[in-house]
Amino acid sequence: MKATGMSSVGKVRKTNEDFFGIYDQAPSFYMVADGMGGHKAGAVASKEAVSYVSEHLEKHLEGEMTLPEIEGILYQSIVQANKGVFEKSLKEDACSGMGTTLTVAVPVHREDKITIAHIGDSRAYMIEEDRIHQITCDHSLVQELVKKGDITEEEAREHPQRNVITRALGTEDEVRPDVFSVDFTFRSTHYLLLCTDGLSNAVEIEEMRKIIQETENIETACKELIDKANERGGQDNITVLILQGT
Amino acid sequence: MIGKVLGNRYEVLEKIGGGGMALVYKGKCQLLNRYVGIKILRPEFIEDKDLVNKFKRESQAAASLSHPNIVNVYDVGQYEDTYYIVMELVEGITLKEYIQEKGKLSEKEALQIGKQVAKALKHAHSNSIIHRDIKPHNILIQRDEDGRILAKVTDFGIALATTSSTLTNTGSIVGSVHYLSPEQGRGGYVDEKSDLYSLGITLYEMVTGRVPFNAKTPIAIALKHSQQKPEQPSNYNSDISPGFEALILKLLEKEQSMRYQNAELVIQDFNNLQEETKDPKGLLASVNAKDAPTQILGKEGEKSYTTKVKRSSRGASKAGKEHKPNKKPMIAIVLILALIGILGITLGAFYIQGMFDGNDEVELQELQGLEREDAIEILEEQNLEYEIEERYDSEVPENIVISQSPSPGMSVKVGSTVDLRISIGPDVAQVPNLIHERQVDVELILEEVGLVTGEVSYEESDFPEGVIIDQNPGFRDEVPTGSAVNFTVSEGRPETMPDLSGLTRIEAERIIRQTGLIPGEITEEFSEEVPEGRVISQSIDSGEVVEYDETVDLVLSLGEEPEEEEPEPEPEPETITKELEINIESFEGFINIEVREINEDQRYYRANHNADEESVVTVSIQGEEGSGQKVFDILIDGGFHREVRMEF
Repeated sequence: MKATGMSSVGKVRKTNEDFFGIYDQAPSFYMVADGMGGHKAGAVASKEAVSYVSEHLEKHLEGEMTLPEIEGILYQSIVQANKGVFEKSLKEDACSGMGTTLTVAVPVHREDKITIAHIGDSRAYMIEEDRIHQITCDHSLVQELVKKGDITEEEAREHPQRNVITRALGTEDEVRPDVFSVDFTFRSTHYLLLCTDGLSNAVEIEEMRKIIQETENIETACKELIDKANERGGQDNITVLILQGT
Repeated sequence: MIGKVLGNRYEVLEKIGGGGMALVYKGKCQLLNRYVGIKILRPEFIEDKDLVNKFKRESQAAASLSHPNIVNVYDVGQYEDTYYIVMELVEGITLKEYIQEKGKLSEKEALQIGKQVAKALKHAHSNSIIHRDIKPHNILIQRDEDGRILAKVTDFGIALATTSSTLTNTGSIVGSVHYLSPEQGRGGYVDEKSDLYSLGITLYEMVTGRVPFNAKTPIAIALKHSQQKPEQPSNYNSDISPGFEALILKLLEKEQSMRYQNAELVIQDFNNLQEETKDPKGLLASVNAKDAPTQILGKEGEKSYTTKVKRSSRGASKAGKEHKPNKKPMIAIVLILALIGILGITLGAFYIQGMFDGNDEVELQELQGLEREDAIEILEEQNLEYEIEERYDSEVPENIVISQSPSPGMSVKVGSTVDLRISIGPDVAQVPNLIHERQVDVELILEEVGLVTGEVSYEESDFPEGVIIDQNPGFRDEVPTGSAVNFTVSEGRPETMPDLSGLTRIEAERIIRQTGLIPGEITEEFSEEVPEGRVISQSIDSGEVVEYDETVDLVLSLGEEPEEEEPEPEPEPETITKELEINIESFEGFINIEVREINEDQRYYRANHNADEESVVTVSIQGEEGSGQKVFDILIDGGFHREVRMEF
């Protein structure tokens, strides 16, 4: 898989609390994180989480593993990262209350699958030919209300509490990530997009697809997506990571 | 911050508290020579211009309020990068602490406090300010010289700024969701009646020591606010008068239109309760807003009217208790029963008359176990009326009579009513997903849909210990309520202890954590073989099987023990240079490249390159031979690009 990522502080905030990681030596994996919490602690949380997960995966992931094995290791990596970040938040005053979202993708070529581990409201989208769909489910208040039928998708977009997330990494001693595998045919017209809510709150899903498919390479597409979000106010940090099938 | 003088006037003296959004200090107003409270917005929120504007606007509005039951805001200002609010200094504890201290408050005390909060709300509402975050944490309790309780509401207006912000400090959200009205949870239209709902929850907590809606997640709590009927407070505190209970439940109506229409009406009912009548009949709480076209009713009309409604709604809530409150068919039954209740009074009056007129009596037959139609036929033949209540039953088949009242054998007047309870079969539950949930949560998840834990088996897997990896029956299967769900729990995989000898403390502790273990005590010893600062030995030998959360102690080297004689000059370690290649083909134009070593947090290289002209940038890295692995972050234009590891 070809991968590229980019992050922007946006137009309003002073610090970038997003973080991403591209680990493209087999077995490869990719992730984005959106930190939160007091004075710059968000940046600590997202970076720490990425580093814990990557170290765990580098140590345990091997080439010939079954999907349940990969899913188990991913789940374990998030539990370890949660422990590390949560302990730090208890120990260091400046980090008190910090936490982060985390969305990790592990391509499994042999099985034509991508395994995802996910917590929070960052997102993974899959683009195949001219279709795009979100494959992660936000752990947010509004998403849960939509699921229960209390509000519609349109209402969710304007909901005053749309930024309230219900699960995060590092905010409690226990964590419950979503871990699952989806079908993915590895060819150059197929993409996986990982992003933080700085992008998904500013750019419509169809616009994302168009930009990614119609731009000559994924580096430029990353840049265009970030530019678009910044044109629309850049309210939040924006992080985009695009994987292209090969 | 301490010692600073804000706005040339307020001297910051000491920190007295802090919440998710602000820190609170005791201060002194030098102009008026009085002590004040100073609330300072936490610095991380300053970047959010929207939030700061809202904070300023709202706190200025709050400053316009002045009332004995409100923590009055004196001044709002800005000092350098800091926004602050100067307010009345209240020496007391929060109502939350007060409840925790006492467990439950007496009705009398709850009434005093509740009335004062309602007065505060009335004042704010008449100034068009909605609090939006009424909860015991925001109500301060003091005693005056005569020992009377004085309640003061604080944090007016600040709530709006918090809830609409991008704040994702989950702790603070969990904190207040317990008090949030259904419309606030939905993001619907919020008005003064939303504050009244939160007051209702607060009163409930005062007299019962618990909040009416509790669940594992904030969402589940929010849903309960909009869907579930609260349990009667008297279930938890039998000393509560029916009147006070009616008042609380009226505040907790799901529909804004069903609650008290304003704080004044709540105060009126508090007064009614304080006077003498603990009887709900005399209360506004008994008037059902939907049935009552106008707010003001003549005394007499009100009384006769409310008596009826009260009787019916009592019947309703009793019936409701026997069922699962969140099932739609049940709600319908409750409503039907409520209607029957109203009819019952009218019919009852007729039958009392009848009793004096005729003497025809019949003996009731055994109806239990009969089909619905057969039971009805028998009753009709005997010229008896009947009322039917349908309910789920896992033992009695569908359409069969479960029970009757009065009992068989009793003689009743012709024309009187027999209550029949008829089964509509077992209630079915949809099996929830348990896979990837943690074992500790399973009971609650199953309980929520009316299922129970079945057989539990354990299996080794890559999933963490305690995570569910299989279940039977499966997700979305339909089973009768009360069925058991079996599942398999991961035991994790045994990890073996890695060899840490020769590593630095930082490296060793990182590996310990990665293995799922906990770094323990460090002791230091002199060593001839192991260089200073590196691990000599570990409390668990490498290769041993370890369990999660075991502690590993380390012994670090202090280097060679210094000898009396002239120390021999240490051989200089060989410095070697390695080249790090950074591919920048995929970039365009001028980019800034930065290389940092992670462990030392040291910058090795920073320069601008033209990606249009160069495709590979080479950076020389020096290191001591044999010093081990170095890890570098490569940043391009300030953003993380990739991580590189090099052996030295």
